[in-house]
Amino acid sequence: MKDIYEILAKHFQNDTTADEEKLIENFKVESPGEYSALKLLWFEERVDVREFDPENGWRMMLAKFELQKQTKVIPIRRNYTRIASVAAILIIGLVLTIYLLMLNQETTYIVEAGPQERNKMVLLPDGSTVWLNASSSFSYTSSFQKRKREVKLSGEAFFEVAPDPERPFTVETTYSDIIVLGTSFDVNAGELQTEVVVKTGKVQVSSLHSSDKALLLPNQMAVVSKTKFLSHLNTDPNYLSWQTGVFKFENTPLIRVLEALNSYYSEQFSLDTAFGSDCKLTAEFNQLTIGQVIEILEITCDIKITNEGNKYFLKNNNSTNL
Amino acid sequence: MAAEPHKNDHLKYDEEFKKIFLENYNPLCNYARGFLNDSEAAEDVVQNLFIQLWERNALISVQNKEHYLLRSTKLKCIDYLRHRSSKREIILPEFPEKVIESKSEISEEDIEPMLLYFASKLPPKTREVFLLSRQSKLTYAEIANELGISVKTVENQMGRALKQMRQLLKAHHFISLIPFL
Repeated sequence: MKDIYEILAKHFQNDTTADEEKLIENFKVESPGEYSALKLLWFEERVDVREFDPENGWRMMLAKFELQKQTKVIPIRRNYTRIASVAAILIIGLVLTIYLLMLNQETTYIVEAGPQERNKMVLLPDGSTVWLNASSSFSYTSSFQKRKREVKLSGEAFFEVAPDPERPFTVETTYSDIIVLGTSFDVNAGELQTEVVVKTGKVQVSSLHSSDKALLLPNQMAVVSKTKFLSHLNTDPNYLSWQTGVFKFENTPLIRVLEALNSYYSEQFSLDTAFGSDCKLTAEFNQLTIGQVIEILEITCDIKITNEGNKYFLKNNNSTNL
Repeated sequence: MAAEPHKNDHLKYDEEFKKIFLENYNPLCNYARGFLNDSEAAEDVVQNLFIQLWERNALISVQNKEHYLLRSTKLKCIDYLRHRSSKREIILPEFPEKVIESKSEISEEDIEPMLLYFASKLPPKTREVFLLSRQSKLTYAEIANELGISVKTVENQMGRALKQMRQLLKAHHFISLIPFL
């Protein structure tokens, strides 16, 4: 009796006998998912396999590693470990003891996004992904993933958490604990309050200052501060715009439009002192360039936008202080 | 005393890390190339990924390394593409819940990278036969003739290739584990 995969290979080549074809029919019924997946791969036309030399890759990686010593992810204790391990070889006794003491400590990894770094992507060891907004930071320790997955956040980030029912994923902010098993959600941990908006899955938010907690479903949000705990439907369609570059405006006053745009574009809009407008915008922007945005605003609101450095100033079209 | 194991762990870590790198480098570069269509960029992405993993000291404790490496490589590729285009192109990676549900879905963009990854992981003999069939589009008889082996052996190797492909799909939850008769 032939192996079913041999027959399957022949089946894809159109080279089977009637008996063999019967076996394939059975296989299709029993494992439809497997059949269609294998078929997809089999008939993929682009099979341009290359040979990459691992030893050469290893050398290139080491060279690069030396070059980029000043990296963005800063393992705080790393230099100590390095120095200590060299010393340990030279002075065995005492230094080894110190080295061990240090090894027993937890390493904290801090990832920071500077004021100009928007939407910085970070991979966590468990396969989860974090997109950090500008001027935000989060940290986790070397025991991440052992029993629980815990991170601390200040500022805003969008989390896409890899599912793992055994190890809940927790985000700690000044005001709340956010616990999830696998989902995606946005957290804005500001100085005065923490806002959580859920995109997919379920998220449990609990206050650190009271016994309040809530289970949030997609498009629900919670606002937690020292004294309050609110959970309700999210009404801001642009809560994720800083990350996606997609904006929806519905009769939105110009000033709110600008606030939203400023969260995504590195170029910032400012108002001229003499500026006044009661323009309201209804539009959808899908990852427009700053030039396209300006054009739309100028035409819709009948204003003039001028560029000074990294800033854009809005002026009334017939303003005298031009 | 916990002294020695720690020190050894540290050395072992570097060795083990290198081993993982060497074993996975070629398949991962092929995988990345499937997304990027650029060999140099593919090597860049894979090297940078390993630098990051090294700095984080995390790879050794990851349980399903292959799955983790594939997923990370894919995310790095997406990130690379996003930064390369002047306008910020946000392609959110497909949500992993989908994968866990074990639905037999491979998204369009995954097919070529998966196939390249898979083909570069085949044992040399099997790979040669597989590529002559799928890349050069030779018939079994032509392959047998070309390599000086029997048609039976070609059939055998092709069956083996498919079987491995199935194992890979299963390992990454693209298909559920279904026993067959």
